Amino acid sequence: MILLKDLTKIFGNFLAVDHLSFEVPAGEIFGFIGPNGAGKTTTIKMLATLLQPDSGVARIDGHCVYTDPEKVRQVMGYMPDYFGTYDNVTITEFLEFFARAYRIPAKTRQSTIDGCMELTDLKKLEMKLVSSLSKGMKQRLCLAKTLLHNPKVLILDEPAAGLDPRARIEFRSLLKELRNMKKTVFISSHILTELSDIVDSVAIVEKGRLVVSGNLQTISQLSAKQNHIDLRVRIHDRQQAESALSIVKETENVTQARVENDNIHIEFSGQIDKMYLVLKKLVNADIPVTEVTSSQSNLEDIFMRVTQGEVS
Amino acid sequence: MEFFDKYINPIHLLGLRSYLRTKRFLYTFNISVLLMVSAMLLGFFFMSIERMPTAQIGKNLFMIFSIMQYIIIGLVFPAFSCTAIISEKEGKTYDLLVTANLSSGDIVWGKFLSAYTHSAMFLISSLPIVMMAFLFGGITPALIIMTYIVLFAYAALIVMLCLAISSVYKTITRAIIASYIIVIIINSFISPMLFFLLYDYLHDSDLMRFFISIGGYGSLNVFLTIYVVPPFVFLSLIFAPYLVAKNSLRTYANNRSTALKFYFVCVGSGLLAIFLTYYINSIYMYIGTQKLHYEMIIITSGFCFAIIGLFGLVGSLGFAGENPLPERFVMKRLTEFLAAGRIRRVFASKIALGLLGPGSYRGARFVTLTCLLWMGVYVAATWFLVDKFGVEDNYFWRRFDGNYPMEYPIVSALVVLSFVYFFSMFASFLSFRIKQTGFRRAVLFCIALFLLVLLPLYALFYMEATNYFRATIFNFQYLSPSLCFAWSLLPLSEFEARRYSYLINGVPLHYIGIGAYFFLGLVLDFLNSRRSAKMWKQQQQQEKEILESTTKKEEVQA
Repeated sequence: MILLKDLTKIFGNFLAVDHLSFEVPAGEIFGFIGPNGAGKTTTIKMLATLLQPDSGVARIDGHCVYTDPEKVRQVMGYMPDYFGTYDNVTITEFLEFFARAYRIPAKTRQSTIDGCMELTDLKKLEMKLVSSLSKGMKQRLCLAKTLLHNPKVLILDEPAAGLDPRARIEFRSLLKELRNMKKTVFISSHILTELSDIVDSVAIVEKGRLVVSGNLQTISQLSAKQNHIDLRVRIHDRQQAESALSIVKETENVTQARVENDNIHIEFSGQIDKMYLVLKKLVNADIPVTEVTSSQSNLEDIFMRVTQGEVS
Repeated sequence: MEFFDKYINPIHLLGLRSYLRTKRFLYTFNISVLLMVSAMLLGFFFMSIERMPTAQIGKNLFMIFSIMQYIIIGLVFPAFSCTAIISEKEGKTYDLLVTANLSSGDIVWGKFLSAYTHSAMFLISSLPIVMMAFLFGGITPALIIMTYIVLFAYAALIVMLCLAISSVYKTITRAIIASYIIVIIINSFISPMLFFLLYDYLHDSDLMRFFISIGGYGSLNVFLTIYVVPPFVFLSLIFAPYLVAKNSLRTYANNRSTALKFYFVCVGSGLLAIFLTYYINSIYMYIGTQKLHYEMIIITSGFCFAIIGLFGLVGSLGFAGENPLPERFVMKRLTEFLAAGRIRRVFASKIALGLLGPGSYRGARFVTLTCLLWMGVYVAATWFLVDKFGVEDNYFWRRFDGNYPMEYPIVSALVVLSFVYFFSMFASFLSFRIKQTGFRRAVLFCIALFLLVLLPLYALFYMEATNYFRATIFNFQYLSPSLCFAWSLLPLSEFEARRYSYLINGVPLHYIGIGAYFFLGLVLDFLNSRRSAKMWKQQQQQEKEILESTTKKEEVQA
């Protein structure tokens, strides 16, 4: 649905986006992650036909953002990270303005506006002035505006920024609803815990370059193969734990092990399927292992592992 | 209602809704009406003390009303539009407008309509006040209608100019300061001029008649001066800031040309048509059956070459200095647009589309062909006059080295044309290698060229030819690009010119100049064509790679 190939943007001597290439499949929620100054907003602005790419190709639903911006805007809804609203107009008037801009025919205009207000839970506030809305409500209003022309692709730049916890949870459920409506959602965010529950795939960028992209599970496994696995073995007896520690330390591929309360924390750097060797040694030594847990890499872990914390 | 609904500009509607609900509008509106009424009452008070005739009081009250209107136009109307576009950018709503598929034209037109509607409300609200003057006589309804037409046109110009400023500047403060400085300068020239015309009309002096007769002799010229020239000047002036605003709002710089090219052709052709009509009609009415003075041909060519040459220079830098785009890519896009019905059938000819399409190489050809067309019209008009009246073999004619009367106009036309061809191809050549020249830089370059090169060269040339500095409007031909062949024009000088006019074996220098510039133009044309083909190949290759990789991925997924 979205395709980037060698997309590059240079501001003077500053390389903001450096030959970025990845693909977003249709109907997925795609997370676009990177530290501050990684070039996320610049990439999004190029996708949203607001910035001219210096080289490379970006296509949305087959249309090139550079040569066919009008068609791209027809299939794409864009919600910027910071946006303004018009004072002295009501929510309905605000949405009517954008409905007219999207050239929605007069016959269906009001029903479309009502539908979007229902979806974003703004119906009860329809006669309120936009200037009197809270930040969360304004985010909802902007999303409602973005959905007016029923776009196939939604590009959301930091949509949860500045929202309180309740508003964030509500926004997340709204995104899930959009996934159920078979929309492709391209979302950038700093709040990784928010994204990890809802995204299907991610692309992590740093210094304008792509670090890793793909399905969340694949990336997790890929990063696990290359890095450490945190294994936790629970042993109730303190003395046996100490002897278990010496056994574990002698095992191949165990880079680090320590006892913490009744648990042994083991950092294993080998293949996942060789992990049983650690347990086999413990069982053979008659150590009473009562519980084994391996910590799953979440989005934050992956992000911390693959990025260096640098900005371009 | 549904029929009209689709023609309503959403920005216009939003502008009316949001602005008319503000307290600022209420206060400004009432204060301006109050000021106007106070000024007229005060004027009436002083005039009644002086026991003036009632008709005179009516005329004077009408003049006070006109002064107040010009003050309000200069002070209040810029406020409606000078922040219109920049406030969208600073308020972070501009991106929402662009991604809502509103074109730059929609945005500018909507903002203009919105600001102009506010202005119109101010102007119309003053109508009952001007009726006070009717009570005293001395003015006619026709005068009021004419005054309102002028006021509405002037307000439109001010509003559009400020809108263009607001689209160019990067902060609200700068836009406001620039708008008011420019409007105050314009207002201090135009308002007194319009005011004195009105004063003159009301007091039956000869000034109006002078302005009417300035166009020349004959009823056609009077008709042109009154009914054609003012609307032409108004439209030319109002479309220039409109296009500046429209183009400065475009996201991508490569697709700005079509509207500008229309403007370029229309204004250039309009100027030439008006000038040639004046010229031909004056000759018909004044010379009658006499023979044509050869100097008339020289004077006309001066004006025409100045217009064509300067348009050629600005056009070369403006259009040929655009972003380079491969030729075949432009044609492919235009064919797609035609198929999708995005271009009206009336412009559907591929040749016309090809000329008006974007890209620097296309721009260079467009400029050369337009200049060729204009030159053709000029040469045809001159041939018609020479054929109709014959040429008087006067002093000027004898000094010219030509063999027959049409030689000088044709050679001069070729001089300008060859230079424009070379220059536009050169601009296109540069745009293929460096970033686009940009319209603003192009205009600045032309002004600099005019002041630093053409004018001093002209002065030098004329000093050499006549031994004293003399610059008159009738020698405009030397200000055109033909000045680059200053020496080639020396046969026209009044003494000792022949020693410069031949180079080798009796071949006049201007022929060599024409040949050299056409040759250089052709070489650059060839290089541009090769570069364009290379760019197209690269694009095709890139597209192919993407398609292949997408197909592979699909196969793997399957």
